[in-house]
Amino acid sequence: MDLFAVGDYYVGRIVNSQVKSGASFGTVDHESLGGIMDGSAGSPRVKVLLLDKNTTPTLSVCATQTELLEHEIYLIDTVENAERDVMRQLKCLVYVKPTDETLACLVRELQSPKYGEYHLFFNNFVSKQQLETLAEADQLEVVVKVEELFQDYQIINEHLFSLDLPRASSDLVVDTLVDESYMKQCKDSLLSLCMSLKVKPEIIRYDQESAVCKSLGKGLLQDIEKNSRSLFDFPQDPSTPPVLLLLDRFDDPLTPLLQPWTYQSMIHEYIGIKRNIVNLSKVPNIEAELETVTLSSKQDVFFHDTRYLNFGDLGDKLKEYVSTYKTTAQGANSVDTMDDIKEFIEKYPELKKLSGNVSKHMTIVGELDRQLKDLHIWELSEVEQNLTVHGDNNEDYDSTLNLLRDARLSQYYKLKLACIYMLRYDDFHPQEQNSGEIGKINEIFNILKESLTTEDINYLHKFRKFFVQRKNKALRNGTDASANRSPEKDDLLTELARKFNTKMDLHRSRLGAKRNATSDNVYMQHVPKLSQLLSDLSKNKLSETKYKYLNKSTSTPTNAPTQDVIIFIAGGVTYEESRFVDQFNEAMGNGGMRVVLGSSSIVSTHDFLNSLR
Amino acid sequence: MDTSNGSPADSAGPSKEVESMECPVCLTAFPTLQALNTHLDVDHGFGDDTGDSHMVVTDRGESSNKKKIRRAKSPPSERGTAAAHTNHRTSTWQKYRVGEKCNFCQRKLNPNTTGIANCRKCGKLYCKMHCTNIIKLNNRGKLDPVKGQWTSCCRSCFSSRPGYNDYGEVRNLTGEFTRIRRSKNEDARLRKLQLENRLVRLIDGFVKLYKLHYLVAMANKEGAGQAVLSSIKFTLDATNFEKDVTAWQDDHTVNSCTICHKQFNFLQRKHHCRLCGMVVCNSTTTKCSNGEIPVLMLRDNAADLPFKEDASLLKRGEVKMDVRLCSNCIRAVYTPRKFHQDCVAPPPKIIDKYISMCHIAKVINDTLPYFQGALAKAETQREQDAEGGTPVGGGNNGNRRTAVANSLEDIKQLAKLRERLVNSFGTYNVLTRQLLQVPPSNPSEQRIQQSIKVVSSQFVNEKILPLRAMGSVLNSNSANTTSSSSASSSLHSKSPATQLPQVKPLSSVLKRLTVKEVKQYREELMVLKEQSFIIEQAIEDSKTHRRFDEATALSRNLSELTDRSQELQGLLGEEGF
Repeated sequence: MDLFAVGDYYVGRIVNSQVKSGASFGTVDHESLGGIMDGSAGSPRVKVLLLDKNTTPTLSVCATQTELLEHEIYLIDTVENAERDVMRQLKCLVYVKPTDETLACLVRELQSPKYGEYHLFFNNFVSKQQLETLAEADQLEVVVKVEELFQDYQIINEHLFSLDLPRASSDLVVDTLVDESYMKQCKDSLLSLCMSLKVKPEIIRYDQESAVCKSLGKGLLQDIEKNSRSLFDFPQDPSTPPVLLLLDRFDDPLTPLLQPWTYQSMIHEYIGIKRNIVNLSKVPNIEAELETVTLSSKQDVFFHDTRYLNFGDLGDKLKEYVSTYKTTAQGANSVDTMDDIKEFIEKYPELKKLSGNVSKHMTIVGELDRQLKDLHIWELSEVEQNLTVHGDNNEDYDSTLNLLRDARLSQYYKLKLACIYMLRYDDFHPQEQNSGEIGKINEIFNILKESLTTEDINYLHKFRKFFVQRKNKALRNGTDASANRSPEKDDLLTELARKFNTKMDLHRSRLGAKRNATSDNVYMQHVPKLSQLLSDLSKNKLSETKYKYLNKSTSTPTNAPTQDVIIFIAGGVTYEESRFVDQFNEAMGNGGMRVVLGSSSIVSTHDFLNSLR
Repeated sequence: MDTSNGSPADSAGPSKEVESMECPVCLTAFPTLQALNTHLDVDHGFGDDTGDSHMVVTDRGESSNKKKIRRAKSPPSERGTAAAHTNHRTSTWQKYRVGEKCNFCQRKLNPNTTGIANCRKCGKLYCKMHCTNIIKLNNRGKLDPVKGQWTSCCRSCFSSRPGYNDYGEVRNLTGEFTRIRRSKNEDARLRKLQLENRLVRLIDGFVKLYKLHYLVAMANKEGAGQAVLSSIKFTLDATNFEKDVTAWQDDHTVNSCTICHKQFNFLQRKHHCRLCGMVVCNSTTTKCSNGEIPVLMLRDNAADLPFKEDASLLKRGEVKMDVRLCSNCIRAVYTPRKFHQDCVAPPPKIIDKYISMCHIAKVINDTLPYFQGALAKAETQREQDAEGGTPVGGGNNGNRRTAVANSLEDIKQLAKLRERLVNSFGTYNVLTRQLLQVPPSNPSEQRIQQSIKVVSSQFVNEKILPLRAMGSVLNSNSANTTSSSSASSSLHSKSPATQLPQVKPLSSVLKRLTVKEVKQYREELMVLKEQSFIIEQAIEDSKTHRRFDEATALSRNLSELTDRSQELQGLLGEEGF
């Protein structure tokens, strides 16, 4: 269940597309399909790749420009662009999402073809009607191939996908009303994911508190059952039925609110990474060539190795990397004889690539460090983490208040901190106005009133009400796993995290941040709910009241070990959670549970907080 | 679950402590510890935690004794059936002998340290650590996901299950698409045939009418008045003929244009398409009928149609007829013709050049492996020489000479190959340059040019490396032989420093350069220029990155290169570029 492999396979399928049999362009040959070999298949032919606005990001993450060039794809354009030049000697590869909009563009294209031969690839199901529309438009018979590939999602890491569908705002208010088109897109993308992994989810479970998950699950089930004969008939081992688990971001609102500390997530939080592109143009004194850099865990080995490391470990790795570079460059510096220069020329491209990569990561890490200091994240994050893991105590409360009073901390972070506090300690019993809890909350509001705008205060009220209601409802149903469950000793990933965190202290001093050393890494104490969920799932102990079965049939054995799991979090996933999934998969090793995590979007703290506004 | 997957021995351990007596694999509850143990052994094929190898077929008696003891302990009914299964299956398993290795990690198996287990599916021997996946098997050891029992198996059996590592579903709709297209296009094709027929009749008819009225009139040498009359008659007949070919739509029944549905009015007049007979407007914006088109043009653009009448009359411009066609008919009759014409038309210059580039690249790709093979051979030869070679004295290298003579043939071969390659690269470069100089006719072509530029430079960078590497082999060999024949056949483009002493005597002996030498020097010069260009870039680069020590070293090299290239240019003189 390696998504990179899936992506590579599909890209290969597109770029190597050839028509094995049948009529090539020009010869209108209806009857002898499967007869003559296409003579032009072997000869060089410049290819055009047409994408649409949906597939452009999908493909740009999967394939590099160089890869495309290697396959004679010398021209890349979008279907939407009507101003393309007519070049009928070219072969055109079309990779689009079958939306009505794109279909209209394609129909126009086929009616007056700009290129000589068309290979159509769709990244999801094409309906019969759509196919008919296209066939009708193709009067010149320029289409020689039509194929459905199933990659209607973006691949971020081996086990992480995103649909890039940021949740519409105002969901907080009307949680029960679900946007139809949003749901359809989620559903279609998830179906394409299942197809691409050749997985028929025999078990669909959903977070019973989430209306979104429920309706999404029902829609999926319906579609899968409708197509089970024709499409979902993969050779599969029925003894280990694949599981699709639908979660809601609101079930674990803490994770996306906390400041992240691993490389990939920090880049996302502080600089922003989209489609593997990091925009560094806002970094002060940036060199022109470093303004936008690409960062792909597939191509960049260093990034692949460091993306899940915390900031301290990252610093070490980077230092190592730089010194490797230096030794390599040193060798190249001593160019005295002709032989040396010969060698230098041979090595030069590689060296240049390496130096580019080094300076790229140096810049990014430098910028991260700068922001951490400027925004006072070190102080903030410590309090945040303490709030999430400690019980209610006055020490944490006082440090919270101190930070809220601190003029140096930006309004956004104050608001966020207050939100975290509410999530943790607010029980919101209006009748008990005088209890200590309420006093504390009121105090927070009082402090915030001085620094925040009324808008933000209103937002905080709204936030508080929403989540407290949720919490109370969950308590009534007795389904809140975190409330009535003590952390178990055998939680695999908590152990891992602990091991992982102890290292942090060693490095922190080197980074110049002088914290009072505790045995644990104070910045990464919080463990996302997902971690507990994964270990529960692997032990077949996942609460059935909280995560309901949608299609629990009698035939599927309940005691079957869980093997292939697709987890979808409606409303956003964090890179931190991706890290946990990655570690989990690694810990499971070969033959164990395999998890693919995905979401409608990948959220930073800003994204999450703003999505609730 | 994770730990139970990790090692069966471990999993059996902790689960015993659990009060509910749950099987760690299938989560069935058991009343007693023994029942659970039996269940684990029988149903899942796990051994107990003493590392006993009762499930391993051994040649020795001692462990089978143990087996008997264990079997005696367990409830007879369950044990009996299990034993039956086991006996049946185990007969095909790999037997354990001392020194046997694990089929996964290749470690030597030892019952005490590694543990021994047979994969229940393939029967091969593994150490316990590598036989921990579980799979459902029936009692013949075959995969049976529905009725089978959970048993342990090795990784390869586990991951070769159907659908385990499968991905990348695709659905080919080409067949369906063409089927739909055929049925949809059937009508369109018939319509096209009909329209084409009408077009042929129309144009032929005009020519006939012309012949009838004008040529006859001319033959009778009638006066001007008669000519005017015949012209009027012709027009009248032509109109009638048009209506005869195509039934015109009745004007009165139509209020709006058939294509753009605009209402007709005083300004928006009604027109008939001469092919389909429909009433269309003559709007300049919608182009429902784009004015009247000369018959000659219509005929020329559909020259493949079976026109009966000769085109000469039309060509001479005598029949001046213009015909109105609606946009639908034009699209049906002329667009496909235009499209296919474009497709078979000679490609634009860029594409043309590109195709030749591809051919050269193919030649290079095909030759390179041969060359590399020969190079490797030469290199080993040289190493042998170096090992057994006599010390190289002033005139006392006769032995060496004979040793080299054997490899001389190889080296000549090598040099020939190299020359071919260098030539190919030269042509490739020239083609690339030519391609880049072609003025692009549209932005797309420009972008294609840019792409090709990137690709070609990548190609050269990648493929030219072995050529560079081989310089040393040829050099040292040719230096040893000192015969000018082999020296001239080898192209030392890459190491001018070592070659310098050779070139000087050459040039002093031969005042005029042979064609071969000119070629050789030119190539060397080209490579030198390329090198100095790379170095210049490198200098630029290191300057911008403030690595000045690097830059100084580089500029020293650059000056050496320039010296050499100037020298070469001097040698070439008029023969230079």
